[in-house]
Amino acid sequence: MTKILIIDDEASIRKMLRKLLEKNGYEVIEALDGKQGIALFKENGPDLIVTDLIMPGKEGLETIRELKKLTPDIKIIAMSGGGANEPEMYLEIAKKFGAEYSFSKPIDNKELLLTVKELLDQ
Amino acid sequence: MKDRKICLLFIEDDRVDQMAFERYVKNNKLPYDYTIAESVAAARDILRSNSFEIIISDYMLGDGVSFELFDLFKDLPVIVTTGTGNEEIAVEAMKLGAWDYLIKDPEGNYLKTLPATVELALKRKQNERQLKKYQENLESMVRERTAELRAEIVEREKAEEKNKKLEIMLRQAQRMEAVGTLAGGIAHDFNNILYPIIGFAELSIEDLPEDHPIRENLMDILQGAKRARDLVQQILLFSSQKETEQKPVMLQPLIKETIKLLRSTIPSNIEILQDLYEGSDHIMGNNTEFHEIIMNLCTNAYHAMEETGGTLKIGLKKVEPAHLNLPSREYCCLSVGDTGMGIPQKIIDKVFEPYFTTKKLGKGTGLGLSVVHGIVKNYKGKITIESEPGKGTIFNLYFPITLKTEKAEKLFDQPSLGGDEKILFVDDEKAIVKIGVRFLERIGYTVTGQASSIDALALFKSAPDRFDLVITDMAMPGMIGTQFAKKLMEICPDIPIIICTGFSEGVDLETARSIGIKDFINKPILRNELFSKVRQVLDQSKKDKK
Repeated sequence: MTKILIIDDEASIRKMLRKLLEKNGYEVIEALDGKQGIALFKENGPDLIVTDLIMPGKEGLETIRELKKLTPDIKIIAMSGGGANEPEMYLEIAKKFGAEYSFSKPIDNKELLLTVKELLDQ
Repeated sequence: MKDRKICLLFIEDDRVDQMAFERYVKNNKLPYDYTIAESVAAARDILRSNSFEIIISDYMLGDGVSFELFDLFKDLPVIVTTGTGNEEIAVEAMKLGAWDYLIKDPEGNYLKTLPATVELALKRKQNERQLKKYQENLESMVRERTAELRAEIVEREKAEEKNKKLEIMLRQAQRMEAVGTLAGGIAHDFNNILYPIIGFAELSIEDLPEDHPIRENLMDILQGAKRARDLVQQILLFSSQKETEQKPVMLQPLIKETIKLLRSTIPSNIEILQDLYEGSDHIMGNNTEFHEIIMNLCTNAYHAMEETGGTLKIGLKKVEPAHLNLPSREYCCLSVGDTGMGIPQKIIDKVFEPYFTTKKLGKGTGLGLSVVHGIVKNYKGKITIESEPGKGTIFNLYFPITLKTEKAEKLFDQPSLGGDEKILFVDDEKAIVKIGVRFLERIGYTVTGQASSIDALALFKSAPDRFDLVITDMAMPGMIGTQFAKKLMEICPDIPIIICTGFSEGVDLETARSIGIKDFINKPILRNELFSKVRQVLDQSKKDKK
C-alpha cells in the first residue's frame, strides 16, 4: 500500500489529513516536526510527503532539502498557512528546494487528492 | 479748443439786458455760439430741439420763473442772473440747483465777470464728467472683482467638499490597512484552524447518505468555513501594499488549469464551456492575480446560477476594440459569462464598489469584484459588463498584449553569455548535477554531467579533447575537487577548470590559481554568476591558446 508521510505541527491538521488519506486507500505516517519527519522517513520509506513550511525547530524548507538529498525521487508537497509571517513566495521557494507542488492552506480535499494521485502516478 | 465756440443759451426777457449781453460778447470777441430766448415758453421750445453746453438765465421772466425749466436743463451748468436787491433769490437759486449767479447791476458791470463765471462753470462740468467716468470705472472694477471673489468662494467650497471626501477615503484606507495588518498577522493561524474544519466537514458530508438530517448542518458549517477562508484571502489581497511583480503571461494555459479546478468544485447542474483562441500572445501580469480574477468571476457566475443550473462560458479572443476609449493596439479579451439572473441596469455601476453585494448574507464578502477591478486597472486594461435580467451576464476584460514573451524572460538577459562549447559538470549530488546541466544547456552549451569524480576522471581520460571546460564541486567523497583538478591537468595541462565551493571549504583564489584552476564559484550557485564565469573562463582560454 502506498505510504504517505505528513509533517505538520498542528495536530488537528494531521488528524484530518490522516482521515482523508486513509479513507482513500493510503497508509499514513505522522510527524510533528522536521526532525521527526526525517527520522520516520528513513525508517519507513514513504512514497510521498506532505509537509508544512513554518514549524518550530527544523523548518519545512530545510526538511525538504534534506529529504531530496536523501532520495531525489521522493515526491514532496509543501503547504503553508500564509499571512504576513509566511508570504506566498515561500511556496515558490519550496518548489526551488525541490517540492513538486505547493499550496496555501486551506485547500479543497478534492484538489489535494487529485494532486497526490497525479504525483504518485508519475 | 481756442477755435471752439461754447454753445450757450441766454434766457432774458429784458431787451436792454439782451442787447448789453450781445454787445459785450461782440466787443470782447467772446467765443460764444449763443441763442437768446425771451421767455419760459420760448426757452422750452428751443431746449426741446437744441442742445447747449451752458445756460445763463434770468430768474424772473415775463411768463414765469426759470426754475420751471430746470427739468429741461437737466445736468447742464446753469447760471442765474437777478437784479440787485434780490440776493436772497440768488442764494435760493443756488440751493435749488443753479451753479452760480450774477447780480445785474444797472451799469452792466456784471457782464465783466461773465466769462470767468462761464469758464468756471464749464470747468466744473468737465470735472464732474471725469469724476463720473472714474466712478463708473471704479464700479465696474468692483463688480468684476466681486464676481471673481464669488467664483473663488465657489471654488474653495468645491475644494473643501473634495477634501472632505478624500478624508473619508483616507480614513477608509487606513481602516483597511489596519484590518490588513491584523489579518496578515493572524491569517497564518486562521488558515491552520480553518483547514481541519473544512477538511472534516467535507469528509463527514461524504460519509452521510443524501437524505441524512445532519448532512445539511454540516454543509452549513462547510459553507461558513469556506466563506471565512475566502474572506481572509480577499482581505489579504485587497490590503496588500506592495505592487505585485508583473511579467509576460500567457492566458490560455492558466485558464485551462483554472477550469480543471472549477470542474471539480462546481456542481454538475452547471455546464462549463471554454472557447479560447489558439495563439501565444502574452499579457503583462501575474499568474496569481489572473487566477484570482478568473476564480472571482466564475464564483459570481456560479452563484448566479446555483439554484437553476445553467452554463458558465469562459472565452478568450484577440481584439482591437475601437469603442472603449483605450489606447489603440491589440488586446486579449477574456470573457466570463453565465445564464443566471442578470444584473439590473440601475446597480450595474455599483458592482465594483468594495463591500457592495447583492448576495444573501452568507455568500460572499462584496470584495471580489473590487479586487478584480483593481487588478485590471493595474494592468492598464478595462472591464465591461453586458447583462440582461433573467437571461444572464457577461464580463468582458480587456488586457493589452505585450510584445515581450516568456522566453525572453527565461533566458539570461544577455544572449552573448551563451555558447556552444562542451562542458563536463561534476558534483556528488545528483540534483545539483541535474540543475547545472539544465541551466547551461538552456543557453546553448553541450553539457555532460557526472555524479562521481572517479567516473568523471575515467571519462575525461578516454577523450581529453572532448571537453572545453570542466566544472567541479570541491567537497566530494573519495577525491576532493582540488585533487580531481590536478589529475585532470595531468592528462590535459591547459584544460580550464572552475571549482564550486562552499564558504567553509578553505579554497580561495590564491590556492585555486596556484594549482592552475581558473576560477571558483561560491555555493549555492547563482545562475547568473555561473553563466558569466563560464563565459569569462572560456573566452580567456581561447585568447591564451592563440
